[in-house]
Amino acid sequence: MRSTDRILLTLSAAAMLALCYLVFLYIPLEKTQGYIQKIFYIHVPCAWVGFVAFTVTAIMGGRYLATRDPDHDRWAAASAEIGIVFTTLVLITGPMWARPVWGIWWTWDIRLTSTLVLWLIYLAYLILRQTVAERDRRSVLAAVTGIIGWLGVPIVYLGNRVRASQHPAPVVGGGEDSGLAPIFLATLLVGVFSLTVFYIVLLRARVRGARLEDAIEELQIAEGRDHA
Amino acid sequence: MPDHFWWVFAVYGVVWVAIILYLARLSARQAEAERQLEILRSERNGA
Repeated sequence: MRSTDRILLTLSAAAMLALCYLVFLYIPLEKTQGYIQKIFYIHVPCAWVGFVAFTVTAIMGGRYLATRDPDHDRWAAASAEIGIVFTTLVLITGPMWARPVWGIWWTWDIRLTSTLVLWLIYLAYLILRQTVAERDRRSVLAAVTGIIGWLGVPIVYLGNRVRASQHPAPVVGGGEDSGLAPIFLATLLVGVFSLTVFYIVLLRARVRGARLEDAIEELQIAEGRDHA
Repeated sequence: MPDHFWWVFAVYGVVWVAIILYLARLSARQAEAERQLEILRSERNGA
């Protein structure tokens, strides 16, 4: 691991420790939900990182289509994989919040369903990358899928803003009635910071791994050519 | 201990374990790729 990554990882871990201190020892209980509301401070940052990761996938996919630089494709694929990890965590932490509050793990609400669909789209993106053997074709198909799939991000974000939903109303950017007390907002931002920095560490590590895997593939192809 | 303390703690635990395992998997995969690349390069240079 490089020194930049060590610094970023330390920053992320320090912010995560600060988050845990704030969540478990400092911030007061929310009036209506009580202790269970504290899940919010990890659930929302996971969703944020998922959105950021899929947005990076779409941008790097677009850059790949424009330049055909394989490194852009590596960034796109790495970010999609990490986006899947964090969206999976959203789909785990959400139902773990819902069970004690709603009495059910899941409901086919617009926010929940659109999140599941977004997760499935990027899962298909990763499966597509595994199934298409020819590298250029794989990269082009993945880039197009990554860009079209990104349309799911605003749908998830706007879902419970434009339609009635069982999911809690947005507390940040949700209109006049929304908002968080400063200490709750600060706690949320610490969580967002911690996981965003961790996402950068993961992304850099995954891209380095992808470059190595591509170098292996190229050597194997060259070897096959030599033997032929 | 407040109601639901362990439940909330478990939720945070799931996130910590998942991201740490994922980072460990990435590191292991990278180390394996580096090893494989080294073998391929030395085989190629020896051939």
